[in-house]
Amino acid sequence: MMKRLKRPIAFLSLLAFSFPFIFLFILSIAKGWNFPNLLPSGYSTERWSGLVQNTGGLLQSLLLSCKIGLVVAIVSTFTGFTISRSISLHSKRKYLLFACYFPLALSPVIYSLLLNHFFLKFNLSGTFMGVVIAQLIITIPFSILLLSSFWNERIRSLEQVSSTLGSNLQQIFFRVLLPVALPQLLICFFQTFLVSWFEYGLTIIIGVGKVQTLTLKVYQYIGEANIFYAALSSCLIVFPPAIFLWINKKYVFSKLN
Amino acid sequence: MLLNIQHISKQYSAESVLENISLTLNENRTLSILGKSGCGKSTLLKIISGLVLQDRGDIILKGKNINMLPANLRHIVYMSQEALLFPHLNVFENIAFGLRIKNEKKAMIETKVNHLITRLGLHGHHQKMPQQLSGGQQQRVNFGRSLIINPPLLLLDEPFGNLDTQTRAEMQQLFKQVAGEFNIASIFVTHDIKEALLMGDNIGYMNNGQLKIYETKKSFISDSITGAQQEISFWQTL
Amino acid sequence: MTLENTLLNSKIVTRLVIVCFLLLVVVPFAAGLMYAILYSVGLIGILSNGFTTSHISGTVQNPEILFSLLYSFYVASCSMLISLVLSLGGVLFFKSSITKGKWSFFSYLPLAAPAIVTAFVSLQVFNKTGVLSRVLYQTNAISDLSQFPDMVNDSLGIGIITTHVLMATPFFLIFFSNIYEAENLKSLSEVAKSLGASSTKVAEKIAIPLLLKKGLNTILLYFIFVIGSYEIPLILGQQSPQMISVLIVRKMQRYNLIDIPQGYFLSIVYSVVVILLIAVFLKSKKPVI
Repeated sequence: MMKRLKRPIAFLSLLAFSFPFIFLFILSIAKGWNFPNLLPSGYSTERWSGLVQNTGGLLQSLLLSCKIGLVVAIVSTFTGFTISRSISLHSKRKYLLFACYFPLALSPVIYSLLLNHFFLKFNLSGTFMGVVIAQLIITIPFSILLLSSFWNERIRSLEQVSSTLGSNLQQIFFRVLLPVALPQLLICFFQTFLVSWFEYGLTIIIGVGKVQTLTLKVYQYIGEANIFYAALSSCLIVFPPAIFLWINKKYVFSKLN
Repeated sequence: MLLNIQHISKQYSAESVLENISLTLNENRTLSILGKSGCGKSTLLKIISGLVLQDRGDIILKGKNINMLPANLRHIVYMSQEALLFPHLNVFENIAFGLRIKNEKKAMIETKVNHLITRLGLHGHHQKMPQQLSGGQQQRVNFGRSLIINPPLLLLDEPFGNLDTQTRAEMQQLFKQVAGEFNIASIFVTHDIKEALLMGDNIGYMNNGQLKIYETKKSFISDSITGAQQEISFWQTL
Repeated sequence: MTLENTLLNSKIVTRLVIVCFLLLVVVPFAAGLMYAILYSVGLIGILSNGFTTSHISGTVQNPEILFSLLYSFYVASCSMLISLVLSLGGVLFFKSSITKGKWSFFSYLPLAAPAIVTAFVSLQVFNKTGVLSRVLYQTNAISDLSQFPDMVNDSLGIGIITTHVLMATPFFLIFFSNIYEAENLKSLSEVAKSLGASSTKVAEKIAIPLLLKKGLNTILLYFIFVIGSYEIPLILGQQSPQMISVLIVRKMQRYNLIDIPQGYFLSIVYSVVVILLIAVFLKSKKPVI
């Protein structure tokens, strides 16, 4: 009996998993959605076409979120790669890696509250750089943990072989380590980008509402009870990760997400 | 004399891994070193190649003290049991690696690499990636990668240890032929008595960080500590 | 360049990098906690008048604080329990086909939605005029909005728990599916069956214990994440009790200056709980990833 139920349950699960995305899209093009109607009263692409004219500042928020995400992803991937190598060579590597869990486990919004005074003191509050630095404080330990598994005995031996074949440190890095690490670096890049892309609490504390990322827009529209623009902003947030997923599921899934 | 190792010692924490090791090696000769796991053979090879720094002693290569020379400038290639091919490069590029980093001319690289690929019995495998090769093929590529830069000295750390008996025998034959053709001196480390006797022109025995070099293979066989006599007796009683 | 220089350089470089690590990872964490401790005992801050334990005692004696902590644990425990039951059941039912094949994309799709978006969707589905109430109305299960139960901004945290379950279940489905594959549970189950175990016994004695054991670190981290979650309780929670993150933000962003040291003390309590949970329960033999 259980085997016969497999297909219907699988189908229902698929439907349940896709429902939020379909729902958000329909809401974003809905003209109205009055109770007790199940479906909207009409449809219009006006809000989506208004995006180009930066209606509601959404286009600006989209670009800002991209910018912050890219900077955070690039810096934390590079930093994580470098630091995780040195940690792998250190005698206390177990403790150093363990230390990375603490900033990661703390709620980002509470962590940003603890550090807010220092951001205010250094005039970083309410600035692009402030939000980037605050996000890096979380994404760097994350990327260290993600990339630490790369530095194993095998990679160490590859470095040694390259050395005896005549490579200097620079050649070992660019011709051997970087290409071999590329798949893992890409995973780290996309996952740290998503951490930044999805972040709300930390952004609103350090950004003081001035750094208007897409997640802030969603909350703003929820507060205004403007469900259609909240749905539009939500669509803009979820579509890039959905595309990353389509390309490579590992870009989105990590046991620490 | 190509290589002169003088009184090399190495300790890890309180444990002595190498004690007062000395040996000499002439051009185009192979020194086999027999020893059990953990006796310090790999550490010795890594010290000679510059991957590990000794606590005491000197390494003289072609009359020059190379103690302070980094690994990439010694022209001494270290080959381990695992082929350790670059996973992102195909057979051709793995072999060409040493020439590419020296910025050698493209035409010259192609000629040398293709010649070596044919010589090592890898014809038709140019474009294959390492994971598509068998263990024996991977070691052949490893060989080619080491030989192409014409190192005066090759250090082989149980290179055929992971291979099956037949492939091992083929690789042993191949090594002896190619080493002769390329005029390469080598130190061949193994835990297999037969392989040590087969591969080396001279032979040594390593135990607890100490090395004894034998004048002749006969004296090696006669020394009970090497276990050669026991091996011979075993085959004779069968 | 001599060998000594190269080795020295690499030692110096390693040490420099470790210092950078300490500055980027350890120092901010320590500095934040230190500032919070000093603020909560009145040594620094707008209202500082020298060392005092009044803020701490004020916080400890405030029943709202205790309720908030308990409420956060309650929400996290319920969410994790339900998600684990659903995901373990899903994995044992579907095995590793969740993460393989052309339909596996849909298994991963929920991961593309962050907490704030999932909370918004939950709000639109479960509120009084949401999708669910409309379905019930259209099918004549209810005739009036007042007949629809409070599922968001409610005292039992149904909306918060449901939303966390909606996020955690797909995550753990994929997570356990990967462990199922990596630990070759299919073969282990076959071995057990050949030794006389029923499917139920296999699940009870082999599959579930193995999946939980291997996934313990991640389950713990997710539990901690739910305790400290902000966006979901912010949108779906009610005024009291509030989950710990929402309460701390409220206290520290208010105009009532007395609330700020209390907020800092609460942050320390929360941080200590997190540190203790990780220090005691996280098995750090290998990185979790």
